[in-house]
Amino acid sequence: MSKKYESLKIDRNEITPKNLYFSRRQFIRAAGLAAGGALLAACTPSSSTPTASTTQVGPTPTYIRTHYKDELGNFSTKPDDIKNYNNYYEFTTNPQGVAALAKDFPTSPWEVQVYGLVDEPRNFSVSEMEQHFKPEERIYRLRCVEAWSMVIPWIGFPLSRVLEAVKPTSEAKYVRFETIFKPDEMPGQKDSSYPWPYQEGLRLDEAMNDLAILATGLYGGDLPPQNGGGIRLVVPWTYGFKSIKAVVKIELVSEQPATLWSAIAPNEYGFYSNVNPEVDHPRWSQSSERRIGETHRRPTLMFNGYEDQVAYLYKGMDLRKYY
Amino acid sequence: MKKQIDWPRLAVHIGAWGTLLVMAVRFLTNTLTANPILTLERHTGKAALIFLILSLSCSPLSAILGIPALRRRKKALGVYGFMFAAIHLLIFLGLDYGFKLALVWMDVSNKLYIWLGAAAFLLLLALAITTFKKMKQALKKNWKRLHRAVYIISPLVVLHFILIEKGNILTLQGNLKEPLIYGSVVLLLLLLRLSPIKNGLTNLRVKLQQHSRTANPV
Repeated sequence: MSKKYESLKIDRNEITPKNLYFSRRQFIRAAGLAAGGALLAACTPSSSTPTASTTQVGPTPTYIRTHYKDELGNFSTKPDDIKNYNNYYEFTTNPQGVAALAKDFPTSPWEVQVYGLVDEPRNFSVSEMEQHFKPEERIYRLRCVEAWSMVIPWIGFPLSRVLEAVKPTSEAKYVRFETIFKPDEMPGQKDSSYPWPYQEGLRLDEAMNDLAILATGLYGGDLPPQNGGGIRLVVPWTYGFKSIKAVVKIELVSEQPATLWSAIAPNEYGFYSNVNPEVDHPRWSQSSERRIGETHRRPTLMFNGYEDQVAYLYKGMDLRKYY
Repeated sequence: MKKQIDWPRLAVHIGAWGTLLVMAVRFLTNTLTANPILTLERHTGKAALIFLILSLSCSPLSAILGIPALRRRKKALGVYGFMFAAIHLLIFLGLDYGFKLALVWMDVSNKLYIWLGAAAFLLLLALAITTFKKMKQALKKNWKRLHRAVYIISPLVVLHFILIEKGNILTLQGNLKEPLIYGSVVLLLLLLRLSPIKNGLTNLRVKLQQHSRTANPV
């Protein structure tokens, strides 16, 4: 049983310098061959060996792959789809409208307060975190509770590294996360149908699992505002709403914290929210899903396919009761 | 004699076919979000509800506002409501589930929203089949009874809509604004059919018209 994230072994030949990748994409677009198959055909083995790029600034990696696969061999979702179909009610409930509304939302500089039942509370800027906690690429499946899914190449670091740095006390049992509250810049936060700001939580052992990351990048670049920039949580074995965006507060607490969706409808959204094809949402099924970019439905996997890495967290728990 | 163009009639047909054309073009050019099938399901469902509401509004508005021509649009609007409902169902079964009916059954047979939607569709189907003159003559008195089902269909569709949204109907929290707006319109239109309300408003309109006539004699 492996609890660590393992990416698919990649062939060095599949790695392309970032600048070359973008010029290729533009070329391919111009040629009207943007279809996935053509993209692959055009970009595979002939790629040159990586060389250090001098134009690269900041913590984003120097190389990005021409195409990404998760550890099960699924191709990543197109960047345009990831960046233009967002469930982010702080801006709008229309997933297609978020990108435009979030366009000017400032994500840098960004600061996160880590506090509560810890010995060394402190505020981190995202750039500090990127220096200290060694971001890496994680290609994760994201399963929305609305029965669609994506495969997303995040850049992030395990949440456990941040928690270890602030030294939780023995009373700390849960981690509470809070989204930034800026109703003037996030028009959806003026809608009183939701108890803003958005909140989420994890049990401490869930938070310490290696798969739970704080993401600051996407597809080799910065994390766009519509995807949760400055910094967001990504918990790939739970439904997407658990992966809270634009995080400004991380608090270690002793009691199970409230979450926005379980506060609205406690009988429909539990604290754990594990992806589970066996346990339906009370009003609709969760047994299958549509991967964005595909036309057929695929069966939904237990713990979104991360059973080996996370099942130990829920051993002996009735997942129908603790949904 | 020059034949006059019936603008309201034309507007109904253009509205319906135009809506369908825009949906089809957006689907075929892949500009219907990254999740086109779900989006198309939602758009066709909403179109069905809007046409049903428009159809439902014809009778009370024609009486209250004194525009008899409105009443003649009722049938076409209702048939278009049925058309969008049928497309909505076909997209759900065909595009969404690839006509794998066993999978559909496994996924939704224990879900209330599906049964409300199915009931609304079957009632609409019955009304659509009997919409023709011959059927009306054959059914005689029963035709009117059957077509009273429109009063049930719209509330069923609104409930079907509420149940697929993330939210809590008891506290009104969550993403329920849109279905609740449609629901309020349906409720209002049903209230306008109650004879005290309908007659009261109609009399008020007649009085106002008489008043303006006496105030501004021609």
